[in-house]
Amino acid sequence: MKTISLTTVSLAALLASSLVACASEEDALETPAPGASSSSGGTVDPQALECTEKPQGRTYVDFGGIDLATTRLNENIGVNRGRIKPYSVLAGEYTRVLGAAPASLAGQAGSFDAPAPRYFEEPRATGVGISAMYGVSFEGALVMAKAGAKYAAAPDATTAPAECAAFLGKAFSRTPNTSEIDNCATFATTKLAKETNPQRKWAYVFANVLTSTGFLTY
Amino acid sequence: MLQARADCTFVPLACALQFCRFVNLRRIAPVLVLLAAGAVALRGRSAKADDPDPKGRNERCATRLSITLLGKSADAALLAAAKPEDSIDSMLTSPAFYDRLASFVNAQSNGAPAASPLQDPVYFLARHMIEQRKPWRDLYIGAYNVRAATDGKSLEVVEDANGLGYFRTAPWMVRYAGNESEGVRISAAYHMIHDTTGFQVPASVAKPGEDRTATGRKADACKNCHFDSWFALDKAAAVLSRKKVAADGTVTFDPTTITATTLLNKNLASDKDLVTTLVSSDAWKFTQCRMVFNFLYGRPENQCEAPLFDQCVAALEKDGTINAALAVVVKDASFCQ
Repeated sequence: MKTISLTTVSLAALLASSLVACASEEDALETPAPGASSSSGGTVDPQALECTEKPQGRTYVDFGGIDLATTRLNENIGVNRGRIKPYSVLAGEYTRVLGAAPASLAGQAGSFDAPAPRYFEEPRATGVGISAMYGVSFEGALVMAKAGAKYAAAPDATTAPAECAAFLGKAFSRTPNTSEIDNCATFATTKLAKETNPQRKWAYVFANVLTSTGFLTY
Repeated sequence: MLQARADCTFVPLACALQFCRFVNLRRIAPVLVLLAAGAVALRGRSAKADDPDPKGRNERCATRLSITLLGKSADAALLAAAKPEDSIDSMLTSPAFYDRLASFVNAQSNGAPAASPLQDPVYFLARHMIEQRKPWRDLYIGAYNVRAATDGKSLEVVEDANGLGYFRTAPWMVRYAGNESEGVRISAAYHMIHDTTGFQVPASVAKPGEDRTATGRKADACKNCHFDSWFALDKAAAVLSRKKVAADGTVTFDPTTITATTLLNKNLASDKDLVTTLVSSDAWKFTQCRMVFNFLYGRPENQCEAPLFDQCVAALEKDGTINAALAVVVKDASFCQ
């Protein structure tokens, strides 16, 4: 299997993504509040993430006289979403986007910490899970790319934006913004030079999308 | 959830560094590049009522509803629905929903999954309450027993005048019998308080030679949790039967050891008195609706969601079922926002 030697870049990217993820409490929230600036690459007004007009609700006290509502976080409605999709839904989600679930997905329950019967565990984005997700995504994306005549040619300045937009829209269930399309197309046309197989180039592009928050969360 | 506080987001640094030890970075280089480049751009999207992309909005709503309520990917019909919210009622009466919510409740009550269905009375009784739309408080105080089914492979719920929710079922009593030297069921008392009111206190770890008897628990460092606080564990445990272990290891419970106690501003004479008092509190209602938010959102309610939370409590008070309380929250427009 031919791979792309981007270790240095990936380490930098890893650190960058981690720092972005951990930069501030506001950054942890996946979606902006209504009215928040969400332009691509722009900043989100922290106030829009907060509950600036706190409604007066009922008071609930425990037997010790403690107001139980004091544990509530200062967040706006609709901002703290983005749960990781559980393993149990991935086959359906891959089918929705790729047309079929990758064959190896069925044996990956352990990689995704699928809960025991009659039990529930909130899925988490672990290193093992992300790695497995990428491998499974690449496998499924390659099958799709091999089946599509339009993927016989490598992505270029014309086809990459168009295919990225279409695939992002399908995977994220929404119209992608310009920045997302540009990032995807740039990756497709400038970061895969060492991969000579056009279909594998497309598979890398699609696997990236399928390992991003837009697809991984709901 | 994707949170920065405890475990950061998507690929937390600590997690990623651990990840580097055994994953070929070259293999995942493309995804890392996209993560870095798109981290800012990819955050900040949600379905909104005024979304210019209604088809996408409906797909996202369908996906969110199906995964949350059923633990399944949305089917083609739901994805194409003009108003996925119209399917909520049918979802709430599906076996997949019963299983998912009962599993969630089970996980809230038990810190780890049971090895066998025969050790899972909370799951089976919770599922019964949800499926039969029984009063939710009866999960804790209802006249039920949860016993081995005739096939010997699962548990079944039967009416039992001597029942007290799942608290008097044999598997639960054994699981939380504890290891107190005189058989005082401190662990059971704590779980009764925790399961009904959400109250949490970390268990202390015994030091070598430390006196863990009732006398030792009256020492300054221990007496607050065990005797003085509103949740005084020894006082609560006094109204429970004591654990007895036979020479062959068989565990039984001796009801003759029960003594009345004063706790929660009441004179309590039995475990039923204790749990009934707990379930009659604001803390119980609060905890049930917080559980609803945790189930639906993967996090507790926030400050701005207080009015919706109050509607959840009102539905629980009026209808008595967890079904009604949960329906209020999931049917609110903010859920698909």
